[in-house]
Amino acid sequence: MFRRWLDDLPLGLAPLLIAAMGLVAGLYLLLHPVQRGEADLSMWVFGPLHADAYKMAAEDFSVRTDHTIDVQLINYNAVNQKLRSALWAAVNIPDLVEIEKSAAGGFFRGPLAKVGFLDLKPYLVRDHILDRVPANSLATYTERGAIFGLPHDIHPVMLAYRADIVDPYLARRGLRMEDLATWGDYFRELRGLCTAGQRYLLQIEHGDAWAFQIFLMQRGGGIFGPGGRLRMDDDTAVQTMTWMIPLVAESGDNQVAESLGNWDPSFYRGLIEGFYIAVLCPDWRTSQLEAFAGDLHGKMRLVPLPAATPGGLRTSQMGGTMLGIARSARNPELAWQFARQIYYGSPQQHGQLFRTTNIITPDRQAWNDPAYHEPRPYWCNQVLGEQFIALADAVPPFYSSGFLPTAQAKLNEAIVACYGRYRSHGVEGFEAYVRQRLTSAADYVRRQMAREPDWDAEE
Amino acid sequence: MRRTIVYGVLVLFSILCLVPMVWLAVSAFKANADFHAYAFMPPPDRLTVANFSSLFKQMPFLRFMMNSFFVAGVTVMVQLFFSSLGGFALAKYAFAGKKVIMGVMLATMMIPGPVLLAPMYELIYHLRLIDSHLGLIVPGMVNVFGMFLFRQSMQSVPDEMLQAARIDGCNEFQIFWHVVIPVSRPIIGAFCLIAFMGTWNSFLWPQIILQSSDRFTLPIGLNQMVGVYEADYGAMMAGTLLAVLPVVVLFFLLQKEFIAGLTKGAVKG
Repeated sequence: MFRRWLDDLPLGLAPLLIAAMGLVAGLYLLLHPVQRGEADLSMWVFGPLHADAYKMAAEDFSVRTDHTIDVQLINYNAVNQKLRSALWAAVNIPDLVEIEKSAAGGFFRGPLAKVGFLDLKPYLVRDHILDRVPANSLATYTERGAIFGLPHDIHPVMLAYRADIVDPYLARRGLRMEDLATWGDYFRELRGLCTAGQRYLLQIEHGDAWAFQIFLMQRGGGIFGPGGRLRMDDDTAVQTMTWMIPLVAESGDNQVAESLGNWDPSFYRGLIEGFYIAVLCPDWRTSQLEAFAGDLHGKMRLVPLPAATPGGLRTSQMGGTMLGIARSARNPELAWQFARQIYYGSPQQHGQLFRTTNIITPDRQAWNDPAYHEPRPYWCNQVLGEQFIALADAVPPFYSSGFLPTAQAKLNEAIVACYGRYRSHGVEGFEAYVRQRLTSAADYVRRQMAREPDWDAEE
Repeated sequence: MRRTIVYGVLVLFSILCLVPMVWLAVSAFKANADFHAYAFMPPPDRLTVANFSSLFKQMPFLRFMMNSFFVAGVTVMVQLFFSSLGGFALAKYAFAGKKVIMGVMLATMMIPGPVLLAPMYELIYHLRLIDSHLGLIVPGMVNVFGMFLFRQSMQSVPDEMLQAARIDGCNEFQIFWHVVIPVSRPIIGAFCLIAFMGTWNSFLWPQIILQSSDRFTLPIGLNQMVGVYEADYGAMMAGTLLAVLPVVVLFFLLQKEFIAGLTKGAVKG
C-alpha cells in the first residue's frame, strides 16, 4: 500500500523526506521563537569556557545595574575575521570583544585615533587597577602609550614532567628536579633516561616555532620588540635557534627531544606512554593534561623552566587573551563597568575560573583566593596556583604586531630549513647558516613592513 | 581464486573507509580522561554517554540541528524546483541564445566560490539578509550543477512523449510535471542527496553570514566548541556523530534512488 502510494508520487521519496524534515524543523523554529530584545551592550568571545562565565556574569550585572549584555560565542578564527570586517565597514561592531594575543597587534595599526578600540589607560588609572597587574602583561596591548586591551591572563610557562619516571631516577643519584637549574643541567643529569626511538627528555617538534618562541622569550628575545621593532634575527634569536635545533636534529642517542604532535591525541599518547618525559607547559595546558591524560593522575609534577644560563629566567610565556572596548561602544562607561567586573571583579570569581581552567588572572588582588592555594592530587599534591603566581612577575613581555603572522610564517620556514641543514651537515657552519636564514626571513618581513611605511604613523 | 582476491581487496578498502567512522562513534562514548589513553576502544565498562549530555548542556544543539534541517530542507526543495525547470528548458526547448546561456552557466561553475564571497556579502548586506536564514537560502536557490544534471537526464526523454502529451491537451507545465518529472525520479533522488549534503555541510558562507548563535547551523555551532586553549574533544565527537547521522540515515533510505540516478544512462538499451 505504502509502496504503491510512494510510486504514485511524481517526485519520489527523496524530496518527500527532505521536505518533511524542513517542514518539521520550520514548525519547531516557529513554535520556539527566540525572545531577543536589544541588549544594552554586545560582547564577542571566542573561548567556550569564557562565554559560559561571562553569560553568568552578565546575568549578575543585569540584576545589579538593570543593563543587559548579549554575550556571543564566536569561533576564534571567525571572531578575528568578523571583527576586521566590522571595523572596516563600521557595521555591527561589538561593544566588547576578546581577542587572542597573537592577533591583537593587527587591530592596533594606523593612527591611534583611528584604532577601533578605546584607550583603557585612563580607566585603569582612574580605578587604581594599573598597579594590580604585572607590568609585562600589558606590553602586548600597549601601542604608542595607549592600552587597547585588558590582559585576561599571564600564562607563565613551567616544565611539566613525569615524576614517576624522573624523580626515582634522580633520587638514586642524590638529586631532585629542583636542583637542575639550567637546561644544560637538565639534559646532562637526565641523559641516562633517554633512549633513541623509545624515550626522550623533552617534547619539541622538528619544526616547532611554538617551542622556539618560548625559549627565545626565556632568553630575553622575541620576534618583535617594543614599538613593533622586528628582532627575529638578532643575536639572541641566532643563539636560541643554534641551541634548540640540535636537541631534535642530532642523530641516535644524542637526540634528546622529540614529538608525536603538539595538539592532537598523539601528543597525550606520547606523554602517557613515556615517549617523552617532559613538556613545556603554560598554565592553560595543565588543565588539558588533567582532562586528556587522566592516566597520569598523581604522576606529573611541575617545576620552573630550567634557565638558559645560570641565574637566568626560569619561565617564559605562551598564549593570552585580551578584552577590548570598541571606540564605537554605545556606552563606554557601562562597557568598562562590565569589563572591570569580569576581569578585575571578585577574587572568588577568578578562583572559580582557576579551578576550572588553571589559568591565573593578572589581578594580584585575586591571588589570595583559596583556589590558588589548594594542593592538586593530579600534580603530586603540588599547589599549582602558588607555583604559577611565583613566576607571574617574571613572565617576559610579548610584543605583538600587525606583521606577527607574516613573521611567524617566515620563522617556521627558517626553523624547518635549519633542522634540515643540521641533519645533513651537523654542527659545521651551523651558526652561520642559522644567522643567514633568520636574516633572510627577517628581511622579507621588513620588506613587507616597508610597503606600509605609515602603518603606525600619526596623522 | 581471482574472485577471492577481489573480495579481499574490497573488504580491505571497506575497512579503511569505515575505520574513521567507527573511531568517531567510539570516541563519542569515551570519557575525556580515556580519550587519549585508549587509541581506539576502551573497555566497555568505561564507555559513557556523558559527552552527549555535556553537548546539550554546552550549547543549544537541538536548535542548531533544527536550523540545519530547515535551511537544508528549504534550500534543496527550492533548488530542485529551479534546477529541474531550468534543466527541462535547456533539454527540450530551442530558443535564441541557448548556447550562450549554457556557456555562461558553465563559466560560473569554473569560478572558485571564495572569489564570490565579497560581492555576495555586499549584496546580502544591502538586501538586509545578514544574520538570517534567508541569507543562506537565497544565494543557493539556483544550482547550475543541478540544471546540467537535469538537462542531461531529461534529454533522454523521447520528444514523442512530449508531443503525445501536447496532443492530449497538456500545457507545458503539465508536460513537465506529469510526463518528464516521473521519468526523472532517479536523478531527482541523486540530486536531492547531493544538494542536501552540500547544504548540510556548508561552513564558510554560514560562518560569514550568521552572527547570532540561535541561528547557527550545525557546522557553525560545532565549530564554536573549538577553543584556542581548551577543547572538549568528547563533546565534539558526540556532536559530530549526531551531525553525520542524518546524512547517513538519509543515504541508507535513498541509496536505491541515488545509485539509480547516478547510473542512469550508463547502460544503453
